Amino acid sequence: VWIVFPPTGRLFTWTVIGRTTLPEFSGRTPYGVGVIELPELAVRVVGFLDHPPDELEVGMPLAWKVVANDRGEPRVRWASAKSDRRDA
Amino acid sequence: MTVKGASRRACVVGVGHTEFSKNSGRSTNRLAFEAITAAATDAGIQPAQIDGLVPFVYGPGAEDVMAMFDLRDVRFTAVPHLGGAGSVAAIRLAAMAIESGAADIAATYVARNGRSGARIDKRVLALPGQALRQELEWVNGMNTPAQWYSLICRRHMHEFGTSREALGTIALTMRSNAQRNGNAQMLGRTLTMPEYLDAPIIADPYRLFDCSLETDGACAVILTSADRARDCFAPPVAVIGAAEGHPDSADDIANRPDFFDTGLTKAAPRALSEAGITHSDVDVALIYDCFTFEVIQQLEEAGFCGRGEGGPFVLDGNISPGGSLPVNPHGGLLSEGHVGGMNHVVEAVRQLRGTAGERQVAGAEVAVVTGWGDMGDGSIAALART
Repeated sequence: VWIVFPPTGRLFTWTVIGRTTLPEFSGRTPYGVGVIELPELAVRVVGFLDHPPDELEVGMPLAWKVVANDRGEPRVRWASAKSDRRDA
Repeated sequence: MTVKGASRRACVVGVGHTEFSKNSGRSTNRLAFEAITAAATDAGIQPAQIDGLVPFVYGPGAEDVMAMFDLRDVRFTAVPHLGGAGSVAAIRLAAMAIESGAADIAATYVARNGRSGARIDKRVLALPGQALRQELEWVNGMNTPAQWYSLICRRHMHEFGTSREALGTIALTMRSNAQRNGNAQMLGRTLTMPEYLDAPIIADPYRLFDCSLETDGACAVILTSADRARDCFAPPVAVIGAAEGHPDSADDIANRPDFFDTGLTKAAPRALSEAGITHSDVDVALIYDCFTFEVIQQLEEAGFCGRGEGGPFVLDGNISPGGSLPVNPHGGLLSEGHVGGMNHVVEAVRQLRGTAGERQVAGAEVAVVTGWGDMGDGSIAALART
């Protein structure tokens, strides 16, 4: 059974990764990774944050989309769901 | 421990270690051989008398040690499953073996080339929950303990106002303590708060000096019963209480109903109750400082201060050598070296023997040692001079 995430969640906590040993992400530092709350599903998920690391805040609304990485593999990315987002 | 009689109470009678470095230049088997030999010499026993072995989850196994010392009749082996919390959990297993009569003389050890050999991002490949790690975390850019635990640290900062200056106080205290330890990797290398605050980001809020050292080296600890301990060289140090615990859930930090719940939250009351002591009885604490914030979290979850009070507790100087609860006088994993936390056990024993030299905590009679591992597993042992 596949369950589709609700369109938005909230940032519960996050880190900014300055060094990585994962080749897929080596050119992207610094980048944010967060724990995102999805209250409708009573679950929290780990997600890559497509948002400026110095503008992350606990509680900020986030929306997900699926993008292809450099090898064409699907990856989930979370971006600000605020209407006044500054990184648009 | 369930003490059937005082004569069978488990005691630490020998501790030993190698030098700690970035490149040992020799195998982990060789490092284990040297540390166990040093511990046996310290105890005044022959390695051939060892009949119980409790290896660390990574590194030389029990059969390796049997072969290197030609041990003829090892009667007890066990490996605890708590990652870095395994060292203190191993003390408990060895003590249980002694007290039950399953072994007469038990050795436990950590030996690794943690810098020149398999570094942390490779060692964690042996952790449980690999499908979760690789399919739900690697694809999102996360694969190391610094990154996992920094998520807990950030949430703690958000809920309780824990500051980077509090984290820095831990880093600076460990660095300062290491200057009184001839075996510390950071001997002679001072650290200031501006240097701490401006260091490169590893996994923010963790920067370089929030992270423990990656170390080549080995430590070994030998235990026996109180009656046999009378024949050993050094004054025995009794294991008066020990426990392990695992958080809910064991392999996933993100979905814990109580985000700060750890194995230590469960284990600490069990160990202190068994030991028959309260927090105020503890003269020196060896807290598993894999990263700075884990000291705050473990001080809280072990009950040395309330949840959310760890930052102010540290900022008020309580963990410094002259404070109410001196923590890691040897400099800890942050500044002595990271030998899976077994170096914390070695330091606790030296403090209780009164042989810690210029870093001796005056009159230390009771020590607590904690372990932290994997996704928040916890272990704790209370040790006392006899």
